Parts: sequence; C-alpha cells; structure tokens
Amino acid sequence: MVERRKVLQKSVKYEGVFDSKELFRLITDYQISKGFDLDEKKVEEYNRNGKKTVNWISEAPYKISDYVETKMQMFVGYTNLKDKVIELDGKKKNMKEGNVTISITRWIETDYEKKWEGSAWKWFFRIFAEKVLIKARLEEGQESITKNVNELYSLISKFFNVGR
Amino acid sequence: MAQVLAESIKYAGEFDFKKLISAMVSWLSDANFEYHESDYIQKDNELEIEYKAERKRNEWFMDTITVHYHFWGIKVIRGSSLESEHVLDARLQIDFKIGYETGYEGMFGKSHFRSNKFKEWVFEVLQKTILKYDLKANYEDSGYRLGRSIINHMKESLGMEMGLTRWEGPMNG
Repeated sequence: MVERRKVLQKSVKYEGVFDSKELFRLITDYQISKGFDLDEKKVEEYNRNGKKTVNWISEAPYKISDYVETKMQMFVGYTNLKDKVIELDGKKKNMKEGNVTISITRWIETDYEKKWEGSAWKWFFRIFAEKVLIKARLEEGQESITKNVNELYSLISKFFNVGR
Repeated sequence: MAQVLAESIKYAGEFDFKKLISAMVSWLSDANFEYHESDYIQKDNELEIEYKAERKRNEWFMDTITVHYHFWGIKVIRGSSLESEHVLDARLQIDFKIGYETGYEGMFGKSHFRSNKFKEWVFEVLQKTILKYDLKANYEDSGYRLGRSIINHMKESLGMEMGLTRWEGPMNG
C-alpha cells in the first residue's frame, strides 16, 4: 500500500487588493521551474452578483526515485472577489479585491508504484529498508521538500507584502 | 486507448455560449485535429454536448481528445442561438480526456488481423519493448502539454482567474 506522510503545511491569508493572475503565474512558474508536473484536481469558479468565489487545488508530483515520490498540494481560494481599477505610475491597472487563502502542503509517498505489497515478506523488507537502509536518504528528501515549501511560501508572502 | 490527462473545470455565472464553443473548435483546428460532435442532449434547461477529436501523428500513433460539456440551470441573458451573441447564465462543467491510440490502422491485432497470432505478437513487442520509452518520452509528454494547452485556452475563454497564460505547450507536439 502506498504510504503517504505529511511533511509540512504552511498557509497565507490576505484581504485586500492584488493581481490574481500574477499570483497564479508566480505559483505555477515556481512549480514548473522546479521540475514539477501540474495536476489540477479542482478548478471551480462561481460568479454571482459580481462577486467571484474560486477554488483551485493542484497536486504537483515529483519523483525522487522508483520508490519515493513527493507531492506539493496547493490550495488557492478566493472569496468575495471583485474587479478593482487602480492607478499605478499614472497608468490604470485592472486588479482584484477580496479574501485569499493559500495553503501549501507537502507530502512524501513511498512505494507509489505498489511494487512492495501483497506478501508479508515484501512488507517486512520494505519496513526494514525504510527504517535502516534508506533512512538517511528519506530524511535528506524531507529536507529538500521543506526548502521548496519555504521558498514558495516566502515568494507568496513577498507578493502580498505580509512577510516579516 | 491510453489516457494521459483527465481534468474538469467547473464554472457558474454568465458566459457567451457561442464564444465558448468556437474557442474550443478554433483551438482544435489550429492544432490540426479532426473533430466531430459525438453527443448532443437537450432537456428543459439542461444541455450536454460532447466533442471527439483525433490527430494522426504517423501510421502508428494518434492523439485523441474528448471534451464533454454539461450545462444546467440555463437562463438566457441576451441574444439567441441565431444571433452572433448568445449570453447565458448557467452552471457548467467541462470534462477533458486527453489520450492516445496506438496501432489505430488495424494493422496489428485488430479487426481481421486479430486471428493472426504473429501480428498480435509483433504488436506486443512494438508496444511493450521497442516503442515503450518512445511512447513515454515523446508521445505521453506531448499529450500532457497538449491537454494543458486546451484546458488553459478554455479557462481563458471563460475569463477564469486560474488561467495559465505563460505556460502554453506546443500544439504540434
């Protein structure tokens, strides 16, 4: 059975004016530049009375080896999103105003190809390998995952100017 | 037939029906796909349309795309199906299935060739050994990019916030 462990979760909440398309580009450009595939699990947009509600969930898988895979799950939610025109350097720019919730969760999955299941021996060797043989490599993988999440989190924080 | 990507878009609000359909049709034409409307069901204020598209890359390999529209709670805001503008208010779901087909010509293991064990064996060898990595590296990856490209195009035509404008996969693979 595929074993899925949550390594890290970070979230950002913001209320105010922002460029929604630029935010989306920032997130996807980061994921693509780091070699992730993009798997959109949910794309929903509801437009009622001039206010939009948007839910977007994506999973970006990244294979470390035949045995270990990591996934970056992103949730981006907008509520009460309205169009807003602002003046920036003497030029008018279309922006959005509303509430934003972003959550980044990083998972690590082992035996994602389901090769080590079906018999007690296979299960035993799998546990033995995870606890003894490849323990250091798994920990190393977790460190790189933490680094990626922190990088993306700081980029988003800078975008909203909420970082300290 | 193998599937590379299966995703959905959900939307509720106002949109131009004609623009939405023509956006997809023009994308398919630009990418050299042959398409046809395989399903059309209309019942009260509910509508389902399905388009199937194919593009032959060579004698062995063919890209396939299925786009299924489901509209419900339809209210006509302005225009009609006879006019150039046809703005509706509805809830909609668009399901995309992007895949590929190999040996589509029926040369190996299909129709009258099924009885020939040797041709079936050649098909298996080609598919599972000789072309295995070629399929993964060239065709599956380009199918994935193709899928991303049409999904992004449809999101943009609906004016959705989550449109990937910078990452457009090459349409010709």
